[in-house]
Amino acid sequence: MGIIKSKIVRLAGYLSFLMIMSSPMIFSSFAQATTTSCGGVQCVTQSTTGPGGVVNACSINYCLNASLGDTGIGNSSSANYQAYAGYTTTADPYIELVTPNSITNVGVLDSSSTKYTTAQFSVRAYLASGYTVINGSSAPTALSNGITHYLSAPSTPAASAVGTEQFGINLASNTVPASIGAVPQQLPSNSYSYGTAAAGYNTSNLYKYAQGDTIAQSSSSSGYTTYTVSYIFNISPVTPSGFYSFTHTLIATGYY
Amino acid sequence: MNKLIKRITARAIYFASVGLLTIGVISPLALTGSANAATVSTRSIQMSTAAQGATGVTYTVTFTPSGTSVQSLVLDFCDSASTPIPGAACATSAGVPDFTNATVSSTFMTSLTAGTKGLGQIKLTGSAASTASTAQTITLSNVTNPTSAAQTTCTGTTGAGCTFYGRIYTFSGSTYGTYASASSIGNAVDTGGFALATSQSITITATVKESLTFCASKTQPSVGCTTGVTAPNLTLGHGTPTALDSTAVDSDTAYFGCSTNANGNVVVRIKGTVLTSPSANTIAAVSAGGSAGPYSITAGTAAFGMRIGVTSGTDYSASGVTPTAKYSSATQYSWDTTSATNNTNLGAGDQIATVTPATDAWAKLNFAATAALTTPAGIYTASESLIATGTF
Repeated sequence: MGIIKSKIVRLAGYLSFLMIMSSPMIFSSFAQATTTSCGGVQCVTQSTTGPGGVVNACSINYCLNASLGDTGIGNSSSANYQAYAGYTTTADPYIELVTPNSITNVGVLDSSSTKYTTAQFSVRAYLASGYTVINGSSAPTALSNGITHYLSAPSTPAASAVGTEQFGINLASNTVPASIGAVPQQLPSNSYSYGTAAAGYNTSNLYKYAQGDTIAQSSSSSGYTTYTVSYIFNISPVTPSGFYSFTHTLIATGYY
Repeated sequence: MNKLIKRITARAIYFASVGLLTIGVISPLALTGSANAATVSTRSIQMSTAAQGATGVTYTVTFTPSGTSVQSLVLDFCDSASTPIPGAACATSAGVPDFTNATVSSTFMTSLTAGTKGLGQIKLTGSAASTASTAQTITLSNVTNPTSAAQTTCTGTTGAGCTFYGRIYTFSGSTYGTYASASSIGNAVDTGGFALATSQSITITATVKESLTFCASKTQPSVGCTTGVTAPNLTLGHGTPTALDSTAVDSDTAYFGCSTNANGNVVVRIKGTVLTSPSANTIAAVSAGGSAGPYSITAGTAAFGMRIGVTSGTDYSASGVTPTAKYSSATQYSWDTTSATNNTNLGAGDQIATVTPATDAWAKLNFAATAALTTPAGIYTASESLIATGTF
């Protein structure tokens, strides 16, 4: 009888221990932020923290921001499930589009050669179902004789054609019209970042441009992916004269 | 003694376990009561441009509500130093979008209209409650994006860290429930957070020069007048030696070729003289140089004129050239000496054709003349200039 009681007591002890240990996971969906005074520092703490949660531990003068469980940005998946593992992310939805300020003049266009340039942008998104980056701007324009002319841009991927009015981009590594561009670079590695160039913009030596097109994407949270955009300009002898300007507006949208 | 200690210890663990087990069960219930808002799912906010400081931006808010009846909602935006967590501290410095002049259209609720709106916040109210549980879209137009300088964590040189956050709260009534502020959201029905980011712009410029290639040739020139250009020396007459007389109307042809990117078109004019002998005798312009041509030239009635035919592809290029009406004829001619812009040396020249931007525009110019019985003998010559003027 004493042995049975002892076992019951131990079992109850184990169960309560398991319950306490699993509580953060169970309670994580009820997490609420509260503002706590930490001496002279105001910091936000979460009343409970689940995997991926952030805890701010404060003393009189300092607050420590630590990740617990770390939702992370690596993932593994099966047909039905996706799990995340990794290091150093926040528990908040987050998206960042890094586009170094760049102004490039490709010079005087002529119908006997192709002018080109490249630019880069980077995207990362956490706690997202993914992100898309779309072209937000129209093709290059110039005001000629009071008329705004948009450079023609192929709506389907096409090879660079000298002598034909054509503006296009891709996010691939190219050899024509020159060795330009690069495949998306995953930082720090493809174990943590998953951005890809979208269909239509991911084939070497084929270019297109359409406002509203998705040019890059990730179907899950992702660390930095750096994309290199290659721009090509061809004109025909009848392309209206003028000073063509193109501000490539990129719109990154995270889905949560 | 040992048994007693063990028994006491076991009972202590037992009661402690029961106590902790109770806490473990009750805690979720207690916490549930403190946060009863559901989360809107599949949510995103897409900006029409991510350019920093851009005006006239459209924010398209998409989300799927829980289906609980709601009639008003609040959208709060917090700067890059804040978080998207509903109810958490939210700094609404200048690093958030400005909705002061925003307008709204929506698939959500009936007649959703904007209430209070300003920096970092817009409140929206429907004329009737909605229990929609499918994807909804609210379009907010004429929004001003935050500037780089206003976003405290935004690095101007690299464009990094230019993130800001949105929060959405829905309420059952039309007056936003007990919402007080972004950090005191009251009895919200559904909530959700968004992350957005502005970015710097990639600007590329290029120049296309004005171009106009124009030539006159006895034979039809090639594209761009690169080949096939010969001296446009024409001889009007028949017989041997070649001569004009009153028995026939004699003609000869020349061409002009034009390649241009002038989107205001090219006007082709001709100006020069009628046939003139060294002793200043002339063969006059057809129909006394009238401006209402084309006119017929009749053998034996001294006259000089020019025409461009009427058949595209034969008389002029299939694209790019439109002959001026008084020179567009299969059989008749003009040589205007009376209009203000006539084709005498004193005028600016008379327009014979218009050329739209084309790489290979051309036209065949038919010059014709006949002599009267009284026309003085002599070698008559005419010198004509073709002038192409592009408007860019």
